[in-house]
Amino acid sequence: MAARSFPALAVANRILLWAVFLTLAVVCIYPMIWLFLNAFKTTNDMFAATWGLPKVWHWENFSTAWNYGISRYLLNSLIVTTSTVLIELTLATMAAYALVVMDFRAKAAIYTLILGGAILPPEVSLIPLFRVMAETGLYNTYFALILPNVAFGLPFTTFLIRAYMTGIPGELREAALMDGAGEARIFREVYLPLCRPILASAGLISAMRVWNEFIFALTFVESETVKTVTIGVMSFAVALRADWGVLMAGLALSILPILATFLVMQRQFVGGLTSGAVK
Amino acid sequence: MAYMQIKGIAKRYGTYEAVRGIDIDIAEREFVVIVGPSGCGKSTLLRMIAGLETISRGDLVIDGQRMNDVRPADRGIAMVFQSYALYPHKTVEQNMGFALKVAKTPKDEAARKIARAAEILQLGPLLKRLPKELSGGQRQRVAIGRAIVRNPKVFLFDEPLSNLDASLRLQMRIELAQLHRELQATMVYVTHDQIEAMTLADKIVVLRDGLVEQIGAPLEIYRRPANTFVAGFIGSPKMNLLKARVTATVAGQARVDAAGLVCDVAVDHLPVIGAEVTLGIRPEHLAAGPGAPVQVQASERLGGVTYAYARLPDGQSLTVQLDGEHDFAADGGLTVQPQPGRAHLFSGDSGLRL
Repeated sequence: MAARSFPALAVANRILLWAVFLTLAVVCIYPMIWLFLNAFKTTNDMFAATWGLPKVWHWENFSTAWNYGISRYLLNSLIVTTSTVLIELTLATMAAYALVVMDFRAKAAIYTLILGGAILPPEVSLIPLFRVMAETGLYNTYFALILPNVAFGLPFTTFLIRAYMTGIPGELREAALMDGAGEARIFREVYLPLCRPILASAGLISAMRVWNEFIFALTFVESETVKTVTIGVMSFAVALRADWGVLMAGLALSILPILATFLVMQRQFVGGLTSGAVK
Repeated sequence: MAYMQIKGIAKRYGTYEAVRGIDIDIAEREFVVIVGPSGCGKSTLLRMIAGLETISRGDLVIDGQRMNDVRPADRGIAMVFQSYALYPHKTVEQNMGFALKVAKTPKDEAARKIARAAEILQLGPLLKRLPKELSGGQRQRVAIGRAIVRNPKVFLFDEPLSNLDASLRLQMRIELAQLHRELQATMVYVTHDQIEAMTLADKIVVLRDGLVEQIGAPLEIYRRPANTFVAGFIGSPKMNLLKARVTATVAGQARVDAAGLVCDVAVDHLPVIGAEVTLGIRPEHLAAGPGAPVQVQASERLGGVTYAYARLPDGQSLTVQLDGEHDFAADGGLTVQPQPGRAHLFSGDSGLRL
């Protein structure tokens, strides 16, 4: 009796688990499907059948959105995101290397200080940062977005890379020292190649954060030539209130690059989140 | 090849002294094995020689030049690590060539050196492989190859065989001995395995608690251990160390009695009659025969020999190695006698050889 009830329980458990995950998946994915479906409709079609497939696939919505200025916003986001990720990874990797392999005074205190940056919400520093940007002439430039994004991303990225580096055996560095390599060379030729998986994960996490960043983009830039997609689509929405299909196409375009990057690299992303958890 | 002098070297971590003033002279082409239990400071000593740890006190001299403050790579030393420490993302060839690349060695010369090392170590077909595609023994050979290509004055080995299984360890031991003969290099080898020490060394250094207990040729240490620690550490199974009393003395010889096991032992320092001493006798130097009665508690029959784990009448443990296969009486009774001239006598207080 008991023997028969066990498989039944296991099946029930499995069904329940599937139900929960399917619900979660639908909750997450449906808005995106809705967005992409409606990006192909006219405003009338959309209100007539919000949940249905488009009667006619209006591909021109995308070209209209593209020409309306979304291309510029995408380019700006690309510039800001790529620059931020590159600078952030470079600084975080070097900081992590120093924290892992070098012996220096107040190492633990410095690490705590770096980590402390993670608990500071960006909103708190908006006004002082705004003053700094204005006075240094960085306001309304790419740097007004890149520098704060790098600064606020560094603590977590350093934490992530440091955790990974502690798993690299110290004997590799010692072997390289015996081979005559200096610290710069050991960093470049031993540690960096071995950190490739975590660099990919940290880069992806950072890219997603910066691509979707809103507060700095809203506060530190105002010119159309520097605006990123998050702010761009907002003004887009105001201008295109009457043309929902084009608006949806613009929104779809704005999330497409980061969505594609995530789908391609999701394995790295998950790997990065769990690395260092179990050694 | 080079000679090395270790003069009063010590290593201090805060208030703790891991190495407490060690003197060793290593001649050209000598194979020196530093042996001792875990935590005795042997790896720390090796790392100080390599330059991976600073020297707190004393001098390290290689070929007459003081090396204390010289960078690891400039000491003319190569080291083989316990974990091999191969660069996982580099091929065998790149691993072996890394030091040459750093030293900006011309490519054709580097290729020649790598090929030569690969030939010595039979690594030729593996040059394009990554370390993860190699077996433990092959990885060990690559680690040695990486040392060879640098053409160092001195090779250092830090427990290089401890990650290998028993059969591979034996094979690598033989290969290392051959390598030493072939390269005619000065080698310093750290291990806790006294069989490696006995089979590889020209000279053994026994360490305990950061100090040298004895330095000597393997058989010299086996035959004349300086104290009870060395006596117990070198030799397998370990030497029986029994509490005994001196019952008679003549010139250069003392008769001792350890709970019925009576033995005449040659000594340099004659103890007084009645003194409490430690009698050292190796299991292989005891034989079954008329003598002291012992009670066998357990035995191991290995085919060629049988080990009997017995107790003397006063309860002291005694291991006896008997040739061939032995069956013991149901009550475990056995009488043993020591082989003449094979026992050792140590002071009951200091443990030093008498």
